[in-house]
Amino acid sequence: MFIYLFMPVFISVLTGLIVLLYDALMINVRKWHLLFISLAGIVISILYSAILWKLPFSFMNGMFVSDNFSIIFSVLFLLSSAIVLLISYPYLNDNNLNFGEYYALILFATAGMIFMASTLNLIVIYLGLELLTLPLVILTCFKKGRDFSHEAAIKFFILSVFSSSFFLFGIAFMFGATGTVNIAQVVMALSTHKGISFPYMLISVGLLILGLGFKISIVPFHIWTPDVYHGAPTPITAFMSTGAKLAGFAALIRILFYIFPAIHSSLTEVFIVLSVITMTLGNIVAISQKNIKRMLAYSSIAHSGYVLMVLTVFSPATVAAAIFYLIVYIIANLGAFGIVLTLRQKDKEYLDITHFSGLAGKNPFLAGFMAVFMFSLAGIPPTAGFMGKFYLFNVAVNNGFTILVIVGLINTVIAAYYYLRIVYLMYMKKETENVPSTISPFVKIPLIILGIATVFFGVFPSSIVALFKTTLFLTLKL
Amino acid sequence: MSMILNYLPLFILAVLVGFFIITSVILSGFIGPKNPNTTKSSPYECGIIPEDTARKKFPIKFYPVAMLFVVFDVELVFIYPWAVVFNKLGVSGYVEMVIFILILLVGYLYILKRGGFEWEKRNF
Repeated sequence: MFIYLFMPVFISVLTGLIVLLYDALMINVRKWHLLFISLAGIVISILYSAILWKLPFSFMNGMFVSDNFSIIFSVLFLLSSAIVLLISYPYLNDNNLNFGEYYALILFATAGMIFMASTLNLIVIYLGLELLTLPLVILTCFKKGRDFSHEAAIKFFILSVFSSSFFLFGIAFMFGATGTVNIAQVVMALSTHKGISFPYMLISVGLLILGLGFKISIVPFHIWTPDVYHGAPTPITAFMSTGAKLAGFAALIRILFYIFPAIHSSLTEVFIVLSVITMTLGNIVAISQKNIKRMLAYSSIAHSGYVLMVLTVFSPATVAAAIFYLIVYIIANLGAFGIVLTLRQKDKEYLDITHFSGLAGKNPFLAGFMAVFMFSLAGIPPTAGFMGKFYLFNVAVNNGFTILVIVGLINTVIAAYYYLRIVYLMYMKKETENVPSTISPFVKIPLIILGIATVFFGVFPSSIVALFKTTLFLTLKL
Repeated sequence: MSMILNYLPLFILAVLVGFFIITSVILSGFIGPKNPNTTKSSPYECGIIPEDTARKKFPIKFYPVAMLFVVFDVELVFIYPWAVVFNKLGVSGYVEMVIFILILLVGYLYILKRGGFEWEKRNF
């Protein structure tokens, strides 16, 4: 039985190895074979995850668990990797970067994400974190010979090693305080000798939040985000801002869910403060950005802040709202990066915000989809972004965090300025510079799917949220 | 408390070792005769005569060699204890080690085909 449990992660690693060897050993490698093998592996992996749905299982005392929570996240990781692979294919060809290594590293990183989402053991979460971070560092400087991306990779590497060491330190404190690294047993262990170990427990949770906060770029730990997002190749930026961020949230929600009952009174204020400064700073700094990748980087910081808003309290509604918001966010973000990717000619990219001026007249397809994704990120009604924010704020109000919701609403208004500026430039301005665009079916098909999903989740959100509410929470408590 | 008492002999040993090291280094510094000459004061008393400072740029080619060595060296570190308890681990232990070696084999083939072992071909 337990071998089926590992299938999603096992198949992603195996596919990565196959792609790596296929590119290295075969004489005449057709590049689309690499893409095809990787996508086939991802599809099989998703199917295996689907088989495991509603069959909660725990292996070796929670070292590896498979419940609905982990399956939803695994499927999301795999889907976002698949879309990233698709949209990066023409980019890789134009930049002469189309090697098996690229696909393999993305698949290994996906395996790391799945590990992070499907374990109760802090050490395994740490291993998953490392397995995710190291490929990302290599992918950040995958485009060799650009000083900018080398700088980004070194920054990313040093800072992520630093934050991982904080995370490890947190695990050590956790073990010292409770004698276990299994988060499901922490609360029980704590209740037996509460007086002595409680302060150490608080230190531990603080360090764990710091380590994961780096990954999901919440504000005091966000400094790396704009530089790394800017320096990395654009598809990798898309990957980092969706899959990697989602993995951080998966681990954070899992840890907080189990630890919260023990220390919730001490944590609530921390999360209120983190949420407020994260969304405010992200949104205000995003206004002044001239580069679209930097703008989206700050916008992704702000979105982390919105999700943190509901992590102040745990109930089925909270987790469902948080996950729905994350899904909405990754759909819109992948779409936005997909469109940023199309504004280029061969290896020259056009990344200024002003390069979007007059896009609607030249290419209504791209402009229309960009508008949909920008509306979704800003939270404007027919799109999914509105429903995501609606559920989020609704949950926060129901739990009595009205002030937090007011701050969130003010932030939404601030955010609307820089999202709608793109729409304004596309539709109302004349073209200032001749910006070419390259659209291939590899980008077009994912864009259409993402656009339809954005509108679909905006119109019919209740079924999926209800699904999360009913299935997710019960099985999380193994 | 009794747990800590069990470690008392170890602690005494550690103190004794530290004491012996420090005193012997200091005492030999005071008591030993000193006849320095150039050969004796060089970093390596025997072997090749050093020509230049070691703090200069090396070709980066050397570093991948060191990295590859570490990878396959660590493999050995895992295999050795595995071999010691081979009988106790049974079939599952055997299968796990095969998977581990297969993954490393993929890495080996990859390095081989990408020219990692060919000194002249490398251009980093």
